[in-house]
Amino acid sequence: MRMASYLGRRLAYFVVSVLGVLVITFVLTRTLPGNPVYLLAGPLTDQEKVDAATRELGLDRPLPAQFVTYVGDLVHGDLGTSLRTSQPVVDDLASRWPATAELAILAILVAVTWALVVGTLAAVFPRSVFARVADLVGSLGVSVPEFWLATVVILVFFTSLGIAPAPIGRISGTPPGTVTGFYTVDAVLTADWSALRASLAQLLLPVLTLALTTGAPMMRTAREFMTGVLGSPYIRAGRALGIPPARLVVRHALPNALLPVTTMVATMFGYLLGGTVMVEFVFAWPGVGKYAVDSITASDYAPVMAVVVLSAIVYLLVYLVTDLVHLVVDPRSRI
Amino acid sequence: MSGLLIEDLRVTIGTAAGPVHALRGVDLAIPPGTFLGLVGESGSGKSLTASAVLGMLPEAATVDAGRVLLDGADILKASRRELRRIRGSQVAAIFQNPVATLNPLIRVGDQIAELIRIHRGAPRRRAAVEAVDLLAAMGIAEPRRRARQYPHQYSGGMAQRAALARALACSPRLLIADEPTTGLDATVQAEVLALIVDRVRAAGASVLLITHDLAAAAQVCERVAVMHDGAVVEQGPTAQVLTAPRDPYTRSLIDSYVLAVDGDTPVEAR
Amino acid sequence: MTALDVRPAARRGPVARWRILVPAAGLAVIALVSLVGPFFLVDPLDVGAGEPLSGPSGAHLFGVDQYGMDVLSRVVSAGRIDLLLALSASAIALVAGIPLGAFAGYRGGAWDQGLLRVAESFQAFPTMLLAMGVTLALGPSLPNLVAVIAVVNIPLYMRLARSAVIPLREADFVLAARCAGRSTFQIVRQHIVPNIAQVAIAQFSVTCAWAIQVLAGLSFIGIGVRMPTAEWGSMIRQGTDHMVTGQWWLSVFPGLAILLTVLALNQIAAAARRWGGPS
Repeated sequence: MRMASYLGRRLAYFVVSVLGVLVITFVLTRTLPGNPVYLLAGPLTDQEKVDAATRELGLDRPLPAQFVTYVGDLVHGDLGTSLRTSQPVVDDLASRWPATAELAILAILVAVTWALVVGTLAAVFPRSVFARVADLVGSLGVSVPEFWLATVVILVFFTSLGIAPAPIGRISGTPPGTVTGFYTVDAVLTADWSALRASLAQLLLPVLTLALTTGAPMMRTAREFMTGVLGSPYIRAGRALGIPPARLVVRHALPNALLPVTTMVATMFGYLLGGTVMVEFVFAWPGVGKYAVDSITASDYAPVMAVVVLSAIVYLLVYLVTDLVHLVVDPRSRI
Repeated sequence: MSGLLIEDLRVTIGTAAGPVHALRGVDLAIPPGTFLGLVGESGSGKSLTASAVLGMLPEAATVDAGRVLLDGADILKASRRELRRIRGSQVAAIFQNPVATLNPLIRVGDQIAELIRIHRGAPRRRAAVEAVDLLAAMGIAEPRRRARQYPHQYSGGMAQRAALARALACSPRLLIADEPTTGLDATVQAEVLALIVDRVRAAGASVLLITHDLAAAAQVCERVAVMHDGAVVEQGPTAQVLTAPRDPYTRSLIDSYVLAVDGDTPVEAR
Repeated sequence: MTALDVRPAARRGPVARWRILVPAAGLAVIALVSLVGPFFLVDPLDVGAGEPLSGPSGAHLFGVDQYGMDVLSRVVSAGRIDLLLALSASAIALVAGIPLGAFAGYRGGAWDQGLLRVAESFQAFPTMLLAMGVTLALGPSLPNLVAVIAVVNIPLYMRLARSAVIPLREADFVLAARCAGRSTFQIVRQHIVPNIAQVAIAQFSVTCAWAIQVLAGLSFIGIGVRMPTAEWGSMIRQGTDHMVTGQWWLSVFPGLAILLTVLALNQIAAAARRWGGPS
């Protein structure tokens, strides 16, 4: 019963947040420079044509009505048309999102892995040299701008050492046959091993960059929670009853520290979306982020606003899913 | 020599403000099958003494002198591996705030079974059955259902019963009960104390009962030791210590206790 | 209470002192160099300062960029802009967010809920993307950039103040003031704002660090400070293509400047939090 009411509240909260996001982006698009009326009616026009264009665009209607239209368009997948590509923004995004998703998912997986392992070890051996190094890496990782780190890893691993391929997008050579749009997955599905190797090589540096910058705050959080859990009464009691230390850490402490860390992962996902925009640009990665930056450079705003509103909604969805997973995993939320 | 024997234990703890002499010569003896109550106010070193017996002194602590002999073997000299075997199977412990001493994410039955498997190498299924039996032996109704529940579904008294089941799962020779009833309801306190006496006597083990509750110690322990400022100031048979205390600190402790319980009654213990 | 968890006292005293002194000194040096440095260096906008794309040398310690401008001059003068904008944006966010949050927390009820929802809506965006959207909408002028970064950070301060005020609401001294007939505003100003000053200072340091990162990020993607004005993020963008061909000095030095400044600010915040936290 309690669970159902929590579920209801959580979903209501999600809807309210999405509405809030939509209101903000609506206001932003209405204040964007480059009045759409003049775009439609042409620069040198009389008042009559301006009025006609205003009516045609529905800009003479009250704001709430305009808002409803705005949301309706979004729901129907009408995100406007890109001036730069002269394609509907939806189509542009549809062809680009797998590149971004592949990069982001891989980056978050790598980030979570190293953050948990290093954070846990640093918490278990707080006075070790390892913990100090972890401290340093954490501080640097939190402070380094990811777009700069991206250029530095290119300098080191491509320009100087020559062990990474040139930053020229998702793959050099022919991409694997399209099944899912994820090159690594498609390469495996079509057994195209050279394409798999080539796409993994291209993923190496951008994933490294994003994994370091998003993993650093996660590692610190993991370490903090782990330290807290290791000091808790049930760990002490477990030790007093002779449970081996490795088992205490892995079986008893880690799951308890993991719960709050997953919330952190959801938060970092939002950060990752922002970071991906810039890292994609540096690596000429043909994803949604590079699309947004290229559109900005061309003063083409419809695609940018679409990316902004969609990423906010994706972020809220990830947050919702995290909370729901908590609900299922944590026995204390069940009755 | 069997049972627990602590001889002249001296422990220093390093703090930012300099070393603190936390234990300054503790001597205790618990013959097999007997209960010793260790009383004193907080900060007197009771719990640190318990940590020493468990081989779990804090990192900042150094042992300056003394021995902690459990059935003749010095715990302070045991290797990590030996300590792990000793804990749980020779000496076990329960603590205050029992719900918090159980892992919130693991079913209570599994937490008991875990110890049976670790210390006795019992197969999973048999350990699970034994865990339910243990819960039943601790007076928990519907043990099968309770074993599948999580700690937050337990009341304080029930959680302490489960913790006791865990501690006694591998028949230790010595149980350390560190403030086991603190924070529980008064009626539950008496039940838990009675259960400890009953189960430990049945197993023939001995108990180090750490408490600030003089009455509780007097009720269940043959012998009492009084700690003050890192040293045992007095120990002996319970009746003797309570009726004819030799140390002034013991006397003041008894006085304050009696006064707190009933300010009008003359202090007959004198 | 058992004394079972006898832990060594938290490491404070001398250790804590260097933890705040070192980053504070570092930040002071960065600020001083940005402030005074330009008087001793060549004009950061002078396209004839040196041979384009020549590397670090005695004459140009940080090298020369593709337009012939001196990179050292530009890094130093960019420090002025970045620090100034970050500082003012954070100050605005603090000055606007703290009273708003304190008010919401103290009043409770519909006000609290309403303000909280607005704050949450802003926080529902990935920060960088929200900043992108707002910058586009307002147009990328310097005051607008400050406004954007301030707006993005206001919800943080609101929540901070709100969560600090709620437990204080029922505190004795506040109740006493209320009994004495003080107005809500007076109580918030006299009793509640001073109480959250400490947390706010730590947050301020973090916000400044964030502001520098966001500002540089916006400039990097081309909607922040624009060429030829020197700014760390836009300088990195300017050098990005040259990293592949080995002219590293264009991007590396401004990036190091961001890294060191942000690192110092973050460390100050961490130390401040530890300093003020319960022992």
